[in-house]
Amino acid sequence: MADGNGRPAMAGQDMGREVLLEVRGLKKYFPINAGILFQREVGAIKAVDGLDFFIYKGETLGLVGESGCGKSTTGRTILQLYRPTAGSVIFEGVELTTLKGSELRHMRRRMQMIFQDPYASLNPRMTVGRIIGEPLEVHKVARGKELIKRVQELLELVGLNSYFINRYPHEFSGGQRQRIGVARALALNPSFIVADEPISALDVSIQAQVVNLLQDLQKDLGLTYLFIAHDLSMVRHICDRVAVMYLGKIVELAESEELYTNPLQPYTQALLSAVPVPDPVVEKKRQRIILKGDVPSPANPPKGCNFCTRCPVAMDICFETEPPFVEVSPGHWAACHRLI
Amino acid sequence: MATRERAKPVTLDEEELLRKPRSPMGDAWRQLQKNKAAMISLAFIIVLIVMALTADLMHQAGWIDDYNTQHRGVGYAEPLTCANDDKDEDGVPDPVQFCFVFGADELGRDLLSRTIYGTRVSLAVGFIGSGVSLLIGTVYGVISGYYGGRIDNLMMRFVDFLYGIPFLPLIILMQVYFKSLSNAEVGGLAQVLVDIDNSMGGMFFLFVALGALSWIGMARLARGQVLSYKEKEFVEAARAVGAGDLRIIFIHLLPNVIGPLIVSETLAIPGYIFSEAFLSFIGLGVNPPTPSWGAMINAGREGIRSKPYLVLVPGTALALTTLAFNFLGDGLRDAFDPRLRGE
Amino acid sequence: MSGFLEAVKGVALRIADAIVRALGGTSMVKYIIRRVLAGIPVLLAITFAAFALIRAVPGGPFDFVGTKQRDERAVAALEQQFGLDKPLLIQFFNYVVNLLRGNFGPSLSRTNLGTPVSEIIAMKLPISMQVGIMAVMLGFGLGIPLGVLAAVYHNSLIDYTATFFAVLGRSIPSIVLGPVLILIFAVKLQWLPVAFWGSEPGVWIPPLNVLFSWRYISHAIMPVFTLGTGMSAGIARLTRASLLQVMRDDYIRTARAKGLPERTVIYLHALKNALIPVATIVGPLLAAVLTGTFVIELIFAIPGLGDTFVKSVSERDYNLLVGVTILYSAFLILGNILVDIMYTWLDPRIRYD
Ligand SMILES: Nc1ncnc2c1ncn2[C@@H]1O[C@H](COP(=O)(O)OP(=O)(O)O)[C@@H](O)[C@H]1O
Ligand SMILES: [Mg+2]
Repeated sequence: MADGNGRPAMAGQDMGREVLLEVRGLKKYFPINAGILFQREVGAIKAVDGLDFFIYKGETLGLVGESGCGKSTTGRTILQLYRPTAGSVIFEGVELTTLKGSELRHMRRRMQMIFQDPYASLNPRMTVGRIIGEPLEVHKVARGKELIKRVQELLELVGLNSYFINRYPHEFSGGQRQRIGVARALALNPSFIVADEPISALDVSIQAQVVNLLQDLQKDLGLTYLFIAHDLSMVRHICDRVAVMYLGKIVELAESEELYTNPLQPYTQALLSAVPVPDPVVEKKRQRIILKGDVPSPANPPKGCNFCTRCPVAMDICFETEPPFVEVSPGHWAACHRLI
Repeated sequence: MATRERAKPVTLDEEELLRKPRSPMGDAWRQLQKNKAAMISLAFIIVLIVMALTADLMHQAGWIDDYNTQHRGVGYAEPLTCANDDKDEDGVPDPVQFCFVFGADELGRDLLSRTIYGTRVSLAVGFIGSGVSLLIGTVYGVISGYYGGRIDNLMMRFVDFLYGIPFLPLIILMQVYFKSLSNAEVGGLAQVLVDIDNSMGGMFFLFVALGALSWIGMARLARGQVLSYKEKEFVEAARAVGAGDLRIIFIHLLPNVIGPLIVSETLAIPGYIFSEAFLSFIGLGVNPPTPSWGAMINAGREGIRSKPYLVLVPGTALALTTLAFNFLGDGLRDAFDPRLRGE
Repeated sequence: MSGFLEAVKGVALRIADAIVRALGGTSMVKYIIRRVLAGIPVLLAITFAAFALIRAVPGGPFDFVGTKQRDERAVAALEQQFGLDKPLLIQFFNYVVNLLRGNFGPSLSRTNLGTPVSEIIAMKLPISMQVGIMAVMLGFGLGIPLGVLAAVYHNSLIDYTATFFAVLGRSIPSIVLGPVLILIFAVKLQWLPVAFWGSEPGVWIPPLNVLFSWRYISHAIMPVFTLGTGMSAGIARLTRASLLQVMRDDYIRTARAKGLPERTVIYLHALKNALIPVATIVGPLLAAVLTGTFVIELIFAIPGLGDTFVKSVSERDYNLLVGVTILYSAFLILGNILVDIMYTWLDPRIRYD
């Protein structure tokens, strides 16, 4: 099977399911500048360093990793909010990385983002109506009365009262603000949404509400999510498949249940060992793998495997060559020399 | 997942629902209203503006003199004295009596009238100086901060460069140069500018000189503000939605960054008024006989022993005006930035 | 012999090392050197601007020559003697070459014709500096206690009164305050001498041995007060804001919770940290002193640098005008560097490398 560009499908894709998004060799480096009088480039932060994965239509793919490992950068680079340093992003059969200007703007209607910080993600000087209506205004989809009507619909859709249309963000609670952010993302009827830690900044009591809202919307509108989170416990029930990221690379990717029951990569194992288990018998036996040392700087990642400096089972080869990202069993990828 | 909550609408009571929205600007305005000193100052400034705008009307109504009307034979009238005016040229004495509330200067010009006309110069310098500086500084700082990278680097090096300019000596030299132009025939476009300057009593070049040298601080402030806002997620969200640079700058960044810039410019207005007063004080400000408080103070200084009102009248006007702008500026700053109130 | 050289070299290296360490490491030294180097083109550009601007004004320094009518021949001779007959760029080049040797050129004014400008500056600058330094001392001496008082008794009558006076001090321009002080203390009360418009002989003589004479002090009080109040108002405001900020920080709360008496908390913990941002006002203050003395010197007829500058404008003393402008500019540039260095010292988050 080939996608819209006539390229061969990525290995391991389920031929029966439609792929919405495909990412190949994606890299995003941020230049490091220095100099008092005139700045020059002295290095690069390798925030995202070669990702290969795809997302099926209608599924939720979780992207999990410690803070600073490049999850947000991945999300933003996919949406072309950052232009990638290398690699390709094929969305609905269209190569996004080469799109410019109005073509890219047009594609933005199909893919949106929900942000982590419900306080920073809404312009404090705009009313809720203008915030949610902005996508419609920018794309000239609706104006005047029609726009107001659509905004009211969106408010109701995310469980807010349409009376709120003239209020300002500071008059809402964190959970309500996050709903406003969701309404804005939905305004243009996108098919794909990057949810960048949408519940991390919320009270635990509110988190379930927002997750449920996102799941309801997925069912009703047929949405596809890239769900970013910084710990594994959160994504288990939300995601169909989960990718684990470390220092700019995906180290393991599998179906949720498979990943939780059969983690292959030492980093995933360490992460999972920190997740409490509801079953008291298993919980008692649970042994935490404590990783030593700090995450290396993305400006200067180690030679060989990125995880080698902290890996409890590292071998000589791990310090020399980078492990390939291979499909160990159907639908289960991992990057580790021990698996080859 | 048994205990699954549906995403149901948040319920609210009637009152909460019908409450009027509170905009950030409205909040700031309410906060400002609580500040008595700022509100009195605002009223005072409005009165000054009205006076400056209606000086000619007041003159036509016969309430005050023109700024250069010389009552012959009444040089140095004390305050609260009246004199019969013989201003008619035909030698027939004119029975019109004129009362000098604040006295008259050595040429018999009414001090009150000149002080009221002087409001024009001070306010014009204050508002136009800060307006020009706000405009240039904001445009420069926003471009530099928003586009960043090499452009930013280059633009900021230029600002650093300007920071080394000693303001007062250079403005004195500039004014000396501009003053020399106003007496010369220069021709061409320069002549047009010189004519404008002459028709404004020498204020135009003053604006140019003040504006040219005073936007630097504003540019730095604007850039810093833009830098702190452009990484905010709401800007990212606008970009994700497909908004272009202009929309992001004008709809998302400017309304957020402009508050502190306006506060800072309000607090800078006294500085422009001081600068004009000082330049007029050393004879490099507006051209006589256009009245400026600084020039009036300087003229009155010579006779301060016997006629202190010559200094005190324009001096009080100057001090009250700057006081009002400072109180208003402080009030605005507190209203815009609740953190500074120390709550 | 070589052993001696080695020893000298060793000592020199050790001294250099100590200086580098005192300045906060090599990156800071490199930073300072680069900033100073970056200041050179600024200085050059300002020199050129002042140089060209003043020559563009009609009239020249030798217009005084000839009693009834201009004596063109004598003027031309003088212009040739002082190199003013050459093209602008040549003059500028010569000036810069002289400048590099530390030579600001000769004065062109009628009274001081030929006197080196550096000599005039050396004579006038200390006078301006005295006023400026005393005013800065007054500014801090008055401003810090006022600010502390306002912060400690936050939102009380004391705070409001102190804040009010601070705004008042900021609002009264020196061209108003100066004459009013003269009116009250010199004319009406006759406590202090009127130090202006030439009715008195020049008593503003700098040597330190008269520093504490009443004659000196009586002449200094009004100008220093006029210049210092504005500064103290700014310092008070900054101190208050900074102290309020610090007092809200956690460790102060901890100190309070430990049961330390309120006054100890304020003096020992808060003030030390609150004064950090206050110290950085030195930069703007430097500018204020420079321009402030301009005004003060005119009002009180103090024969300092600002006074000389303004007088030189009408005399078209090109070299003096340019020289003083360069001097002020150099002060400003160094002041800005100083402020940036202080920021790095005080705020470890800022790095310049
Ligand atoms: N705009 C940027 N400029 C420079 N570096 C960045 C930028 N955004 C992110 N980074 C760096 O890239 C790395 C990954 O960041 P991010 O994607 O935000 O991580 P995460 O979302 O997983 O916490 C971090 O080291 C971060 O400092
Ligand atoms: Mg993130």
